[in-house]
Amino acid sequence: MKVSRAHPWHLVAGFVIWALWFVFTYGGVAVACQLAKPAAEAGLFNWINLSFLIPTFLIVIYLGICAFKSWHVAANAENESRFLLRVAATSYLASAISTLAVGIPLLAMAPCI
Amino acid sequence: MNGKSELHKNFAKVWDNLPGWGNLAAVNHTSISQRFMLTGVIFFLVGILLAMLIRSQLALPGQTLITADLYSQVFTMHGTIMMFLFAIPVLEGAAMYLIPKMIGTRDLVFPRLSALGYYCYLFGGLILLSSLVLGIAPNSGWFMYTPLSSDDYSAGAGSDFWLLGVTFVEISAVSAGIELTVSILRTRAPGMSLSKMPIFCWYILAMALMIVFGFPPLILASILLELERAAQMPFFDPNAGGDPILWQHLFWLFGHPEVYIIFLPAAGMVSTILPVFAGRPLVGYRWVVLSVIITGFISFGLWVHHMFTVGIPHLAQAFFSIASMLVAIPTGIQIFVWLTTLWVGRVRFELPMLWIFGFLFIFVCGGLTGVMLALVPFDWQVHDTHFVVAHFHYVLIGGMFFPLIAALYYWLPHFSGRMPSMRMGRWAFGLVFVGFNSTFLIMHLTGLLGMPRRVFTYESGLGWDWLNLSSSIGGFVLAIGILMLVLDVTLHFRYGRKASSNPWQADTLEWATGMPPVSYNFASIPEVKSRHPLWDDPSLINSIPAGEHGLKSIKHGRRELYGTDAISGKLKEVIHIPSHSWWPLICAATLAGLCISLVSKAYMVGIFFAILGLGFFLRWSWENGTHKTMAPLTDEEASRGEPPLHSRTFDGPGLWGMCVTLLADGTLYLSLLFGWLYLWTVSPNKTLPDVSAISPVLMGLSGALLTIAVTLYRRLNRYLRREQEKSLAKWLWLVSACGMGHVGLLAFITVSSDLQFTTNAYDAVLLVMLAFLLFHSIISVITTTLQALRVSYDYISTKLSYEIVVMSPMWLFTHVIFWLSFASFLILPTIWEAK
Amino acid sequence: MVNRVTEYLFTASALLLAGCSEPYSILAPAGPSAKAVTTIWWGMLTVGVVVLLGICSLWWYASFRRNRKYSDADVKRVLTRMVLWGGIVLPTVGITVLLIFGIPAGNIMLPLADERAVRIDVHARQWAWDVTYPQHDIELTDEIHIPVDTPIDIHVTSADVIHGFWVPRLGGKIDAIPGHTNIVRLQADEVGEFGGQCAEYCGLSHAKMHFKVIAHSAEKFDAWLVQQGKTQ
Repeated sequence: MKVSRAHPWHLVAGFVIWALWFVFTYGGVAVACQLAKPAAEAGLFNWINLSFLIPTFLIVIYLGICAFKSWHVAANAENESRFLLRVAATSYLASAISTLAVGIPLLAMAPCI
Repeated sequence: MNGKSELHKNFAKVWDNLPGWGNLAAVNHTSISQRFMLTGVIFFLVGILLAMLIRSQLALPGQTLITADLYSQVFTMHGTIMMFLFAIPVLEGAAMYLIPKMIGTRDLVFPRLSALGYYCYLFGGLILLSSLVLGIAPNSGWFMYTPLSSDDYSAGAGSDFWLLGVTFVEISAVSAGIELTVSILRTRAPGMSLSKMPIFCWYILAMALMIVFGFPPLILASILLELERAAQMPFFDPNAGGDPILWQHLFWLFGHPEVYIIFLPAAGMVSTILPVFAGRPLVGYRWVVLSVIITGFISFGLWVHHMFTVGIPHLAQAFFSIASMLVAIPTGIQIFVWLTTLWVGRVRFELPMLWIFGFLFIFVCGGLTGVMLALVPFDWQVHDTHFVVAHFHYVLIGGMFFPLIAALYYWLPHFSGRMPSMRMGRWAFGLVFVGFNSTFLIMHLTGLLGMPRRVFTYESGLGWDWLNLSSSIGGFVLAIGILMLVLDVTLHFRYGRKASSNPWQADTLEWATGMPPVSYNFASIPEVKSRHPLWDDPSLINSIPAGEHGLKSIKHGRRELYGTDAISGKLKEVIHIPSHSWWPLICAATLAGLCISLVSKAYMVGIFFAILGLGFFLRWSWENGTHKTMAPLTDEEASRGEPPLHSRTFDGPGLWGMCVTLLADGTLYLSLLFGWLYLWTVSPNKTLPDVSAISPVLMGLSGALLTIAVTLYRRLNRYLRREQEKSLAKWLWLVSACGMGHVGLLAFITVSSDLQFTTNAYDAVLLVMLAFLLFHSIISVITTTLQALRVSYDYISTKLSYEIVVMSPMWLFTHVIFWLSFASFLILPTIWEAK
Repeated sequence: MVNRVTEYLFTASALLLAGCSEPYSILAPAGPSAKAVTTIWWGMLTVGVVVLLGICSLWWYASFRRNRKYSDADVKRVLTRMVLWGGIVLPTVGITVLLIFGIPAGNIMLPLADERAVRIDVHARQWAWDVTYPQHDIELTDEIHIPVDTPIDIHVTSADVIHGFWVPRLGGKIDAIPGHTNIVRLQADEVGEFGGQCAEYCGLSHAKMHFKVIAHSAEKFDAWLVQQGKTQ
């Protein structure tokens, strides 16, 4: 569904993506640690952190774009659509920030300990 | 005037409850919700009594007022009652009372489901409470950590009471969640688009959906633990490939959202009441909607913060730590929106505002300690101490009880017709506020000085003595305050000043339903043009009962609502809802019988009750739709100038109810899938599960039959939507024949498989998975068979095909879970092994 | 500064009223990880009190101040300012500062590789703690002897239900879970006896499931090891 269409789905879509990302990252790190635990000396630069950081950044960027588009379209929309698009835009932005914030530990902590 | 009372009489005849004992068959939302709230208050008083026992025991070191065993029952039941039997049901009751009135409709969409929910709650609550009276109450703490709650360490029936009783009560919570969601989305007054909903509806919509997604993990966990206790299926036993931590994940996956399920409606009350007393609309409506959405989602990403000390990797803990802190932001936004509303408004400081101020202080305080607890190293120190006990009482009493009392005083005139007064109310508030803070503010320090929670006694000289004593004194002040509150409310029914209509000059439609409200709420349904219908047009209070708006015909004797579009609120159809019925009571009583026989391990009797219950539910469903007691097709329908009845369309509330129910069901299934993957990837004694006990060929064959059935059913749907004539009965019989073949084969696989489900956790999960599939397939087949029969009674025809549309998502769901299970339970481990 | 003063006032009043020592007090830390947490606590408390009082007084003021006329544009401006600064910036800054101080404190407690670390195994059961020293073949119950100023890695597990291993003055707690072995790092900065207790409810005698940690100087600890080796 296009971001520019006013539909209540967009109020939650950003956070649905956030939730899926959260499950993927939390579950993925746990399973990855079982499969191939990186050496302790590797510190932050190990395959687990890196391979989860990349999707994190991509998702943050995608959600940011969605937020920007919605806000942009909202400026010219009327009444009900305007309301939905505005809330959708802020919701996308909030989900982008949440993804970034929850993902920050990937930059600061080694996995599996 | 005469026309008005004539209209009222006619409406009352259709909508009023039956007299006398017939009240037990009532389904009206006003009656049911009042019962919910009243029952909740009684359970609350029991919970208070238990709290007083706890505080008496802890008042002095080395007390022997009650034994360690009784103490453990008391604290377990205190938590259980307050969470499951008070907080959630009372808030649901409040929502069920207010929502239809606020959105301008006459009842909830599934009134008989509300009644069933109430009886499940009542019976489940009584069963739980009976264990306390018998002295065999659950005693492992309200979160029932296994192995302590398992058969080995809690041999009596205590844990069974908890697991079955709470599950029983949860049926009512989930059904209320489904019902509120569909009601808010589909039955708003014409013109009430999403952006014109009263803000309270957004909160309740979020709460209802959170119940739908939040409760199933606990229902699953309870079923698994009960199976472990009753049938030795070792889901949580590390020696058999299980893991006690799985219980904690499933429990808190429910447990944390629950805190926000309790907080959101209460915050919604604040957002409704505060603008009325500020004399202006809530500023920042959009900000609040956004905060509600954020809270609703983020609260599902915090559950592990209850498990920081179980040894989860630190990176994972950090995710949850930050998510837990993030949730402070939407809460902060709401607090500052409220503050701004006061800032730019003209504030009248009445009794409800006093309680809202109390809420602010206590809740902000609890929120701050909440952020502290989200910090992992700090949590490692204070986790499981009285600091945490103090924290969550701040959050729950501050975040739920104070707004609830504000709301009680605010809406009192609505159902008593009398005004509350500051005179005694002020004193009750003072006692509760002072009592609460002297109990729990001090308790933070008790925790910091190292006192763990759930100890039945302590030695003198640890620095805890005076702290506990003052907490106990504070606790009794608090209890006296609550008694005074009860007294004040009771007395007001007799001595309160008579209220004028719309006494607080509120903006929302519930004040146009009469004080006390009439059973049908609105004799005519107005068109809504803004968020503040009563501020736009105060004369609605008179014109609605005078029948000057829509849907005012009642001669047909049906209970009717307007069905509107979920987004725009445009009028779409007339929803015909069922009237009073004994079936909810009968079904709930049968379920109670099932519950009691399971608790007392009389499994044969249990099977009897289960079959009886199934029969009753099917009989109930038979009297539905276009059954002759409901809404048979008539000739004059087209000529009355209203939209068609929903049973003549393809998109009624039943379809929406089915979809929301399947969301809950799907969550239950995903929790099971999570358990499966968890057990063989991260549990302590994990191995690759051996799934060879189930033949993939037979499974595939059974699945193929299912696929044929579903394809046929969906195709029939398509024909019906295109209004192509088909011989319905033949199609339906064909579908159910294929379905029966599928069920038969699946049952054969289940029975003939060599699953070691008492010694191997994986096999136990496989068995549950098969049972889950069987359950859904059987329900789908039975309902379709019944539909085939209904065709011959003319309840279903090519013109009246709504029921077939409603069952379509169910078939699809059954289909999806079958193949998903096939892939993830049977194929995935094989591929994994090959790798 | 405020921080320090509150600390003194708080401890002083607590001590005055209690009149004796508090063997389980988080506020009397005796090891690096417990100390880090206590410092964070006093900081959080100070900020928390300021925020609480600030919000409540703003609220009170907003309720009772003389009413002014606000145009729609004014309302919008006030709202944006309030929500942005109070609702978003305030918690965000708060959280960030908390994490900046909190994450390093958490790292102290991690059982990272350290050749000085002494390993001790603790096996919890209803309702006692069985302690073994894997390198020394020593077994004790409800009593742990450790050398001072040395990182100790306690390997915790359970024979029956879940227990919580906790020595408040030395550091955070860790759960003892059947089937799992969890590690917690503790260190004592001073010689002495420290109270330990079960934190997770574990059945009827949960309240009595205490133990002692006794920190010796390095020489005394070695002597103790030798002596224990003889008697067992």
